[in-house]
Amino acid sequence: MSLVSSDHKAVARRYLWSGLGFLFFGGLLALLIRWQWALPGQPVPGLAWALPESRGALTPPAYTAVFTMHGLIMIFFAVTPLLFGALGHFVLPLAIGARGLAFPRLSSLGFWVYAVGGALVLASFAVRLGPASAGWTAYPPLSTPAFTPGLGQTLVTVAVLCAAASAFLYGLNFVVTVVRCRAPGMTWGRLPLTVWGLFFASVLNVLFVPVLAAATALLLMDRLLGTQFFVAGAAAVGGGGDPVVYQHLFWLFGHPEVYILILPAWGMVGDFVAFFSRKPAHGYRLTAGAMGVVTALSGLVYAHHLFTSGMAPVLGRAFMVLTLLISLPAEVMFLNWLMTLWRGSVRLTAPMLAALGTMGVFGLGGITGLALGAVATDVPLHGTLWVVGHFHLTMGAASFLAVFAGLYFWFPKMYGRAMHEGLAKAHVLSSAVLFLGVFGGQLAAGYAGQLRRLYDPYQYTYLKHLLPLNQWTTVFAFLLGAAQLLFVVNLVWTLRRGRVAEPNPWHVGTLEWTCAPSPPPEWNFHSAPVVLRGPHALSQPEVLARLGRDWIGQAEVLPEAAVEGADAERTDTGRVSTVGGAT
Amino acid sequence: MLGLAAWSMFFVALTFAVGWYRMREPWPPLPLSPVLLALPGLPLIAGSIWLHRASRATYAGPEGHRRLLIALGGVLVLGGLYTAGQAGLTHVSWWNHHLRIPEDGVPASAYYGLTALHVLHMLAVLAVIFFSALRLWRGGGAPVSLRQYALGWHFVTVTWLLLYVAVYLP
Repeated sequence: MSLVSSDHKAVARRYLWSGLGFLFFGGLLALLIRWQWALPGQPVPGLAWALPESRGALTPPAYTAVFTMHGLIMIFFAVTPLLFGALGHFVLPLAIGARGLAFPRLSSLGFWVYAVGGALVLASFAVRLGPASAGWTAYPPLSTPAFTPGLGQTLVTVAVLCAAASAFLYGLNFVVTVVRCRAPGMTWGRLPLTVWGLFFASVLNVLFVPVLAAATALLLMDRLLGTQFFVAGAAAVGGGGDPVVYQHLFWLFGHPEVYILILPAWGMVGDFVAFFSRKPAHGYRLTAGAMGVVTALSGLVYAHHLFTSGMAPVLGRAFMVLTLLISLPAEVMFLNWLMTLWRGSVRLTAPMLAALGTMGVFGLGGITGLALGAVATDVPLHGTLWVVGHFHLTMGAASFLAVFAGLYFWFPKMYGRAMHEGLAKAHVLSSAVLFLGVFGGQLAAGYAGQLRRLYDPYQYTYLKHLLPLNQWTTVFAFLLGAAQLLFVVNLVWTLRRGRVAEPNPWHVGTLEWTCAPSPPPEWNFHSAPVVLRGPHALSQPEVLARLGRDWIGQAEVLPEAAVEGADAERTDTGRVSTVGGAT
Repeated sequence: MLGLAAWSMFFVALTFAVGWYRMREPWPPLPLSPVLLALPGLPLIAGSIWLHRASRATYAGPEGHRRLLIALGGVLVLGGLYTAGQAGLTHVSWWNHHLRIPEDGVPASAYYGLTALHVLHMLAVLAVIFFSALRLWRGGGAPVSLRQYALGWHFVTVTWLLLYVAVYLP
């Protein structure tokens, strides 16, 4: 694996390995949090070297640092880089028939900026007073030197800035690539839904990541230069700053970030559900349009995160309506997936199981989110584990399963070797079920009133009875961690001894599977593909009759049509003769 | 172009933050007059016009090469003037008028902090132009994209106007 190559596939592999590394690390931190809630104050086996004074038990400051770093690492250094850095970088140019990304050196630079951020995150664990401990959102005044004076908080804040810069760079690259580098004939109506998801999410990246950069820049100035943007009442003259400003700026980025993480997942689900139901995606245009509406609305709903910050009731009501509105396009998309499945010839491959798992956990996450979008129900639930369960189902479990859906689907293309299907299915199924156990347990504990950041919830009498529930949830969490061994074993085995992948193992028509070998050469395609149809041309009667199979490549000419049709298509490559997949 | 348009959200976010503070309580005037604070903007605006006109000209042959170097040198001087002007004004505000952080609260923080962030953007644009001019002066054959430099410069000029209205005016 070249460390300097700017080929999008090499950059994707770099993101893949770093993202998986951070996923592993962030997962270990999650298990520490769960340990604390199941066995509060008890020493963690094997952790005495890190916490000698407490003999390995999590102290309150260590617990705070652990839950801060878990959230921060998972969002900025694991799931986002896996979705965009690994899958996005790898798939997007191949799926649109491009020879590479529009700005190859920019994508390589983006990775190295991300890598610097990752190094800072790891370094923060080694400095005095430990890493960041102000929560993954780094709300001031907790994140100001008054409350987190250690160097760790500063390092992590700079690391977030690095991750943001990296996200901005690949977002820009993806947008320009989709707009300018599509193969001849690859009209907007013929893009795979995965590309639509990546495109919309990239638009959100370039629009809202600068807002995070602004908030983080102001926070860094407060920490390093003594400015007073977010420290309330600290100045004797002229008034102090206001921490609520940071909350607005953060969530102006933070809520679109939810959709940045889920839009590529939705795109993949849309594609995989069609591929493995052997049917064109139902309502292709509507699904792509719904993703566009969600993208447009996502910047207008952020203040539902601030219902309890004392905002004016009229603002609360406005944001509540906007928040609930955004569920409508999401429902359209969900119904389209169900309609695609309906009477389809469903094949429960590992990517399909992961896609169905994504649908399930996202559906549950979405429904539990309605209670947080409405002011009246958000106020009592806001400080509880209900919020944690909800966003872990939507941002965590759904994105995680989508990452693995994509990884199982495109791994043969990436490395030319097929992963073991049985192990992959066992991994996906067990993960999906255990996710429901873990985050369902959090939802139940939250509904019972367990506050979400408590070191020891059982110091309150009214929460004591939740100990067994939390212990069961912890058991599920550890089983979930153990289930990941299935993936690790599969990965190692496949890379060492996996069987050589078939040219088109999933029997689909998208360009990466039908026009490029596995793994693809540096320039992706031996000759530039000329796209003739949408990505989901499955089970078409004339294809069955002429080719004897239920799929046809996006750039494949039907035999009888080859003579008279090819010339016409080549001279009319911008024409939308198909939408989504129907021929 | 798209990148700069998107990055303008950075300054929009900063302006939103300052707007929040200004809505909360009256924004005290800075110790320097608004006219004086506007002076560094003049070389910025002049640089925008200069680069705009320079990007429309053609630069063929040795004479064109020389004129291109003069054009780049000119904007470097104007950028230097802007940077020096801002550095001078912040220096005077700190030492002569005792506008201090944290004592003077958010207005002082916004004045020093946002001015510094803006100057950093100017320095980034100047660095690109400087290295391009250096390559040209050494006889390098790398193409000089005046149109892109002009876009970067216009971006800095527009965001300075935003800064002026949001922070410098009482």
